[in-house]
Amino acid sequence: MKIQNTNKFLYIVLLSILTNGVLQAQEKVNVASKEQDTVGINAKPNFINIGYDTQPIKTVTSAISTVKGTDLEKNFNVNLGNTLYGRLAGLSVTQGGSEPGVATPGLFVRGVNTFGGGSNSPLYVIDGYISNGAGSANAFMQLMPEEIETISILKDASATAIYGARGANGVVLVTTKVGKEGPLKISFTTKQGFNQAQSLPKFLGAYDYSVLYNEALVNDGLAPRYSATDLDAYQNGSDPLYHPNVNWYNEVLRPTAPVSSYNLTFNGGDKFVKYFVMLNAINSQGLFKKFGDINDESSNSGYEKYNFRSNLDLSLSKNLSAEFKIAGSIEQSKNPNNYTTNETFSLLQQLPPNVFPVYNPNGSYGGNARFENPVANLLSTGFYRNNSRTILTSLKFTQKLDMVTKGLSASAAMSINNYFESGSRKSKEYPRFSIAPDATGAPIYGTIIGQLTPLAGQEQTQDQYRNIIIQAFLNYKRTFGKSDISAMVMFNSDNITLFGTASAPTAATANSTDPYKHNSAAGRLTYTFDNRFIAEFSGAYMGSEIFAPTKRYGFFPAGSLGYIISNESFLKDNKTLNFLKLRGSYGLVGNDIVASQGTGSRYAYTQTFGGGGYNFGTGNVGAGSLSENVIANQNITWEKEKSFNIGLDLTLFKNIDISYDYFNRDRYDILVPSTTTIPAFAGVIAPNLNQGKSNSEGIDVSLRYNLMSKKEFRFFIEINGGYVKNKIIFNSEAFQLNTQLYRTNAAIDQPFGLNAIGFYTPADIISRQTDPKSVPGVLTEIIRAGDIKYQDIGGPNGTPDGIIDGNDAMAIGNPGLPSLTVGLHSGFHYKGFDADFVFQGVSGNTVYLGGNTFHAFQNNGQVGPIAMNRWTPETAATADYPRLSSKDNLNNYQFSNFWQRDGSFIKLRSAEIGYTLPSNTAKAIRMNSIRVFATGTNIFSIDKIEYGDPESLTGYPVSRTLTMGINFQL
Amino acid sequence: MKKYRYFLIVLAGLVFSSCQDLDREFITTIDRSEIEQSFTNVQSLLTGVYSEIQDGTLYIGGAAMMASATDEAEFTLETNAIQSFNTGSWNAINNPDSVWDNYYRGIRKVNQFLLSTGKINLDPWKLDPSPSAQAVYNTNLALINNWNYEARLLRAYFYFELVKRYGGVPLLTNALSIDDDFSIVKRNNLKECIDFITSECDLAAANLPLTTKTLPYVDARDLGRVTKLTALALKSRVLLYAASDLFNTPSWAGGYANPELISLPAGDRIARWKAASDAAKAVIDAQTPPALGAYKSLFNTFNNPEIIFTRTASNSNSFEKNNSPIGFQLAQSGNTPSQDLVDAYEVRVNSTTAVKFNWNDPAMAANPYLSRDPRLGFTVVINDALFGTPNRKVEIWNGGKDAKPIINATKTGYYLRKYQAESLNLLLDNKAAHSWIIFRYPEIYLNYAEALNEWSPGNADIKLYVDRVRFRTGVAMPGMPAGSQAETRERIRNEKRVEFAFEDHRFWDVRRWMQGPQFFGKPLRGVEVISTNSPTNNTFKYTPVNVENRSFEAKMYLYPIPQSELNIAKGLIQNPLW
Repeated sequence: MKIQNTNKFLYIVLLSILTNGVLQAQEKVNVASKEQDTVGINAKPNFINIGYDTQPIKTVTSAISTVKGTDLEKNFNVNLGNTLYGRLAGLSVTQGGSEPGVATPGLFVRGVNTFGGGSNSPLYVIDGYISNGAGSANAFMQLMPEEIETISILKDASATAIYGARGANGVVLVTTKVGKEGPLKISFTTKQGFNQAQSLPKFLGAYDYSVLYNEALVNDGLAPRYSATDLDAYQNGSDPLYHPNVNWYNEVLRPTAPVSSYNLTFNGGDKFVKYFVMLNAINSQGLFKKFGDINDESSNSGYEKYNFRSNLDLSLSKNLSAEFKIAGSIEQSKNPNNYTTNETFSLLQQLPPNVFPVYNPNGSYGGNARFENPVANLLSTGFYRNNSRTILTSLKFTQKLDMVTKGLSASAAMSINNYFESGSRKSKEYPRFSIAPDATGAPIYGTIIGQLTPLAGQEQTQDQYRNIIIQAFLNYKRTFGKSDISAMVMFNSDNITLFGTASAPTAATANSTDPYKHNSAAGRLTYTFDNRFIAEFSGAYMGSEIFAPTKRYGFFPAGSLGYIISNESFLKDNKTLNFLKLRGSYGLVGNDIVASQGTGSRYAYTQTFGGGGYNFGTGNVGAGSLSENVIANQNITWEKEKSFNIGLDLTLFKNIDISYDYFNRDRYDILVPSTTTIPAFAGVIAPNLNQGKSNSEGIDVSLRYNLMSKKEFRFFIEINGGYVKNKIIFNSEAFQLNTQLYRTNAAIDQPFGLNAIGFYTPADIISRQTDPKSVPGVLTEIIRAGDIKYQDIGGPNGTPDGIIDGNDAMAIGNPGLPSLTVGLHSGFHYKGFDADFVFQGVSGNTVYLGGNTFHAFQNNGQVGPIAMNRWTPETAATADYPRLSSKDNLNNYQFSNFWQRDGSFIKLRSAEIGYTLPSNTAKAIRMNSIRVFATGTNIFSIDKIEYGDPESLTGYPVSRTLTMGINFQL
Repeated sequence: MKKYRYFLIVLAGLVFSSCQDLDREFITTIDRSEIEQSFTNVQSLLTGVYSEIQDGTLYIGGAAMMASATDEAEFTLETNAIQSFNTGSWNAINNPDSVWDNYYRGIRKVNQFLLSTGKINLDPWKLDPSPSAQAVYNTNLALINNWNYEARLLRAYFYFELVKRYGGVPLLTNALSIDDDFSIVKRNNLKECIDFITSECDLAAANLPLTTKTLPYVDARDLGRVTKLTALALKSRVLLYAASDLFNTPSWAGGYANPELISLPAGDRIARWKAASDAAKAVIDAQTPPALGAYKSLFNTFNNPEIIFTRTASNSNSFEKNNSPIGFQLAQSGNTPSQDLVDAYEVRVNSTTAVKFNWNDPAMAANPYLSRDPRLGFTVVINDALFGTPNRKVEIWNGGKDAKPIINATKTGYYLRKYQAESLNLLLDNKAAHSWIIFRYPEIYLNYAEALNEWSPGNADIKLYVDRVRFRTGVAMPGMPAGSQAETRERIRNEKRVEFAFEDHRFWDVRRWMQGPQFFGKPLRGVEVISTNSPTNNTFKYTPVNVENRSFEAKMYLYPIPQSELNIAKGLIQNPLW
């Protein structure tokens, strides 16, 4: 209920912002000059990429959103995905941690529409070629905004049908910049600044910790650990040796870390050669202190990336042209201690402040048998250096065939891409000692924990992929009177070899290096009549190698219609309504990544054998067995989606653009267990079958107001938003007596857990002593007053049984992916000054407060301020946290809605203000233009989580980046 | 124009070449037809059948034994699924002993295996005229012939495991395909199932070597395989069940419309008991029965002449960790014997007389563990007994090292000793063998005695064979006294209860004797131990107490067919009262 109210609230806020904007806009339109400013901020492109071709934006009949690369430059991010928050209607971008070079956000086009093992990721296409790689290894994530002309997302079936069995999750299309005819233009930009943690988890100091820990012990019927003397020592900090109060985050992190970037582009050409060349270097040091400076056997943390791109367009003859692109990036990252920082942060979140001092009096590391010392880990366990290379190359020839028939051309293209990541690990161990005072107060050192070892080295391949793509095209474009025909037929064949993934650097399994192969023949036919009626048909006949030989190829058609009403005579030259187009599409697309890639078990159609053995003989020797593994499913096939989209595009008062889409997507043939299909008496380990169904529907809206005047003030505001609601229609589930356990009809990724209904009262506990089932509780813990009480919903017989267990789970909260995502992008230009900012807001998602930050004393961990308002007999009426327990409490910390929170937020993702020097000043030093600017990224978040960032409650903190920059153009 | 033509040719070539072959570049698996060619691979298929034999030592949830679902024991952790049996909250959706899947998987493996043995390529030996190759060829032929009957016998065993749980089940002798119409599959009636199992046993007995010492079996290689003796033993058990009350008294099912699924047709009970005793006698007569040796060590070896068939396993110490008294290192209490079981062990009065234990006898109550059947000490850890490595006296008195109020201390006042390899030092991760014995000679003796007593009461063989069990080395209990048929029946049943405690007989025996309400429908008892003096003084007071209320309803005589199966295969009929 609460969530829905929040949604409404957000709607109202957005609508009021919007109406305000429109009203103001209308006022301004009245005073605006009729003459259009051709250099208006972010003027929309006239043509957009529709996948293997471009189309005039006015006649596009499918659902596509586009953002320009220049817009994305106005922030500081080492990962391209992180520049897309709130940019595109229908694209949800979720923060995936902030560690430079490791973390990568999740991109979802119109939410998710599959569950189980199927991939939810969109297809990434760079300049027409499939881009591979998992996480941050994806070539898409490694591009820099400066090399990008546009990023488009293809959302409906008519846009993605030409990608056939790979189009169902949407397509992210990148078009890189190309050279423009004209004299050489050089642009150089540098940004210098720093990173800082946007928020860090908070923990109580040693005094509060000890007081609360004593309380927790007493609650468990145990004796308190800390005496009054101890508490005094913690309170006045008089004894840092035996009563330390260490803020471990402060010991390990520095407040700010430098970042910098340099970008140099060359653009120009003549009628024979056009070129775009970019060199980019970006550097983001980690938030760890400079441990490498302190100890040679450690390393400063840091991440560097060098990107280059050279796009050449060549006119080889009057009718033959060629495009040659070569681009790539080199990444270097280094961390003390480990490959990623996860372990360090989980230790930091766990360590109590009084557990031991960082250093003992003799200079050795403090520590105990239970915990490692994070400072020592970062200083004395060696380091990890990673090096990765991406190379993207492509060559395409286009031959005009007007001599065959006018408007015909043919192309042939080939692309070879490669990624390799190697890791160099140096590791060692160190000794640590716990100390206790003797009678005189001098330290007695405990037995040595850990041993000093020399630095040992290990080199390994972390991840790699390579792909080869071959394409051939026939294009036909011609106008006959009022008819406009555009046709394209293309063949695509790609072959991708994957090894391991960066997130889990493991050895390749037997099948995983067998190449993934796709063949497709795709085509599109667009017919436009009189600039009013548009009909388009597109489709692909595609085959992929992961299915059985007879099940490899499928046909994916889609059609769309458009009607430009504003070109009708009765609306022509209408002053208010400048443009109005209605469009609708319907089609079939697929998703062939039905199970995780790069695994040994990818060929579900092949029967494999293995399994447990048996011992025979007097020596009781094990004999291996050959038993059927999961039974082969010859019929396994891709997920299919029937996707319907209806939309309109509208321009009012020349300055207001509105685009609205409603969509409804029926996904079926999702791979789910065969629980309701294959009986156990068949004796097989049942395979997953293509039986699952889901549906999602929603809307995408974008609104834009441009104020473009001859005067020196130019302004725009743009709001884009997407709302999507999905549900599982069929998910082969075992019969349940407790019907609230069914996932069918719940949202995809709906959390299921216990329903917290307050705290046990002392009266409950007395009642439980005579009859434990009178007040339901778990069996795994002795329940005391102040523990979280859960609703008893079901039992083994389907009725409440007085026991709280898995039978009492129900749908709680919302999935982690927001149902509503809104972006607000605005900017102005006044004289030399300009400003630009992007807000992102989400709603309809739930976050879970887990781990040591929120669960006091669990796994010997620490306690956060959230526990201050805990249940005690005195505060029973107002407490919002269960009674403290020194043990790992199996009642209070169960997965329940007690620990769920509304994950809505509004974040200022980026803001930039700039000043362009007067042109005569620039000219004086032989420059065309000089602009100085300040950029902020992830500046603030307004949300409902008091103790951290809703998107990143654990691990590496979300970083805020502030930079100053300067751009020279000549 | 010419160059365009070239270009078009190049383009066409590209299109052609782009249609790459989508087949796998390399294949990392072998398929069934390749497996079936090879002698050793087909042997591995048979090993896969053996691997479906269930091990009852760490059975439910990797910890609880079926004994804890009977009046033999209580499992300490309340969260283990086995508690559903005791609370009566098990049903067609939640059944802790959900082995329907496992046994049908084993049955499928056999059905496929029987088609594989004919395809083995023995040509390399067959075509080699050298005597050594010909010897190998002949041995292999003999082994392959054996394998067929091993597999069929195992299938019969799997079916019996299903039948004793569910009554009549679908008898599948062909492997189903996942595209088959499952709605046409129906349960065979109980008689068909029993007949099928016994005829398969007969066939296996006629074709398999007597023991794993009989060629072509060689103990060193083949110990652990099923033999003629196993076939005869299975037949003995099956016919005993078939003669017992449960399968001959459909009235318990309260007007169930398909009595043929849960009981045999009305007929000559005497003939059924006779068939059962004959089957047991056939085992006894198959070879000179071995002498029964030490009781305790039997359960930590696979190689003992008393064992007819056992489930082998690699050495481990999980059983010790799971079941040792809570005060020992890494121990979790696990399955703890009940007072009901302990009371079943007789008190030895003198070399010829043993009497039932009686709490109302003040002398016995004051010193309850004095002069008891030695098997009590081999099976149960009582208070103040030595246990473990390094050993110490177990303290089960309130406040002791192994007793309440320690969390997860025994609730019954006893710990389990049977199967425990006590010499293991768990901190050093020592491991030992644990033998889940499926058939051993004493069962046959008691089967024989039980059946004989039903149709030929007073037959001298009854006492002879019960006493063989009682006279075992290290047990040497006084012989069974003469008595009426009913008294003898009770004595045989009690003998079965103590001799086979924790061996997963009690759960089924009480059901086939139709004594569920009597034994499983009343509170389980344990003992309260109070140290009457200082902890160092070995004086204790023992008081039997109720530990847990137990529930038994008539429907529990058989398991419900899993609901998920009924939902898919509409031809299956649910068992009565579920």
